[in-house]
Amino acid sequence: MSLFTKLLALMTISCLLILPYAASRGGWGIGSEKNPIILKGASESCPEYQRSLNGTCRRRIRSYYYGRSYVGGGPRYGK
Amino acid sequence: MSDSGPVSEEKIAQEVRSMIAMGQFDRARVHAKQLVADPTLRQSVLEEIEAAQNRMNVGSSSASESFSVETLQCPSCRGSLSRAISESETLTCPACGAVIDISKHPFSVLDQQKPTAYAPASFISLGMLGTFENETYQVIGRICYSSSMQEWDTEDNQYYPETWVYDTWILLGESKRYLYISEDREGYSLAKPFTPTSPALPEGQSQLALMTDHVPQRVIEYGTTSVTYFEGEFTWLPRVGEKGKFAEYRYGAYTYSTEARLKKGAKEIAEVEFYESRSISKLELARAFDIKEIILEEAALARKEGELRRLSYLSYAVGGILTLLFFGSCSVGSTAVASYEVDFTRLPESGLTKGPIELSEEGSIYQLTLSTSIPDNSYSWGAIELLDEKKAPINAFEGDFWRESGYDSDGRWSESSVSTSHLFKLETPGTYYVRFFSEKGTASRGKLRFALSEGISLSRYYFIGLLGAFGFGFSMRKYKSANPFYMLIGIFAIAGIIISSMGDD
Repeated sequence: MSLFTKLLALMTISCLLILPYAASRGGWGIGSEKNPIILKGASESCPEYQRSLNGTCRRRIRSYYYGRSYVGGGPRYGK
Repeated sequence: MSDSGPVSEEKIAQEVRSMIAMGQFDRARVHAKQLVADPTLRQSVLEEIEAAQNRMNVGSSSASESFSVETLQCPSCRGSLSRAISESETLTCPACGAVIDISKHPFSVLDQQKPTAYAPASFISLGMLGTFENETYQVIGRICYSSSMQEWDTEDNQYYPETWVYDTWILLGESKRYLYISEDREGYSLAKPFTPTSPALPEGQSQLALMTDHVPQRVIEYGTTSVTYFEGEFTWLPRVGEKGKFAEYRYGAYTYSTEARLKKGAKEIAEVEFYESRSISKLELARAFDIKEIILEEAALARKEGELRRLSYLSYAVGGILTLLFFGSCSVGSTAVASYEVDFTRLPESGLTKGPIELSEEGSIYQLTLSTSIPDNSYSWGAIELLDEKKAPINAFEGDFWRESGYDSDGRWSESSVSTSHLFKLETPGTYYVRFFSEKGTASRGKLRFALSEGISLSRYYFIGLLGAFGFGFSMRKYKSANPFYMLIGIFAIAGIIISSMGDD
């Protein structure tokens, strides 16, 4: 086995330890506490999609969730 | 000893070649120098001896001189034949493939074989000298077998039919003892005859013990053999198609077998022999025969396997660490930051704000859990808004909760979904609040709980990592090759899949 192959194998094994640790502790794939859709929805007095044809606002507390937006982009639940 | 009087130089050269075939290089040199007058032919013969010795790398001249050789003439092609054992009855001609009965004069040709059809599979050849258990042995014959047998499968606990082909090399020692090297596609084994204290015939039995101090063992293989080819010299008369029966079992590091040779055209047993064998590596054989080229090759291979073994152990160790981290991240490691509980039947429509919550660890992963306790057979909805220090919503989480139970043909059943959790990575440390909302649905009473913990480790990456580490370690052992390129590509591919599946938020 050449020195190059040995080094690559060692590098691979090191990566197998370091990458999962960094990804796990660093929260790769996890979104922040701020959700742009919620921020936008909360900043508008009545978002367009909540407005009736007669101009009244149908908005109520569950309106946020009609968009079904969730924190992060990876798996929804669990770790 | 020569079989005739005055002979031509060509004839002498042929005799010398016969000595070369038997590994008697020093004797061949002396023979050539004394008897070959033509300097060109003599030089050519000496070079041939030198080349053959280099090629075969057989042992010392003193060892080769331990075996006396009688030179005979093939009655079929008139070529030179060498006999190492005076008791030999059968000799095969390496040139024309004739099977010659040498037990009585004049010699007669019994059969004709095609040597080229059964060339040796590896480096062992007739005439080679090797040292086993401090004694020099010479390879004097080879018998090729095909076998139809039943092989025991320890996993399935039953016998399976198997066909097999193998060669048996016959080695004669200085003290006239025999050794046998079996060679097949899986490797080599070294066998020697032994005298059993509890002899048994191979009768298809499932348990066997050939020594009284052996606990009866499972017969791992039994069946029949048939000779397909033979070469060299033999003290008996082998024949192609000769049948035999065998049964063998393992005891410690050795395999013990009982083997019966059957009479021609009959099922009666002509002879029974018992063998004790052990597996022997190619390197061990090459050392015994002192074949430097193979010793170097096998040593390099063994070195490579050793390196791969060490690397695979390292990979397994990394896999072990990742397994511990995986289970650790599943069970421990988070710290509760805040928890609140509200009665959702009393929540105003505008919500109920709780806090403040101080979040200080930038980049730390937080887990937010929303759960409820509601009566059986009811549902409700609960949500929270995450508010910044100005109590403006920056995120929101919700859950449809339900609990149901009943009876069916299997008895009582119950199902529920009463909690949901989400993760986020803190981008801006500061003061936060939470605002509860609910719709009680059909639940007459119940609590809505919010819990926030920090210092979460993501188990998913440890899981992917441990699969990769164990997989890499396993592949190095199994395929005897480390191919980090593929492994690196695999890691980047997995990382790419994960990253591409991430949302932008």
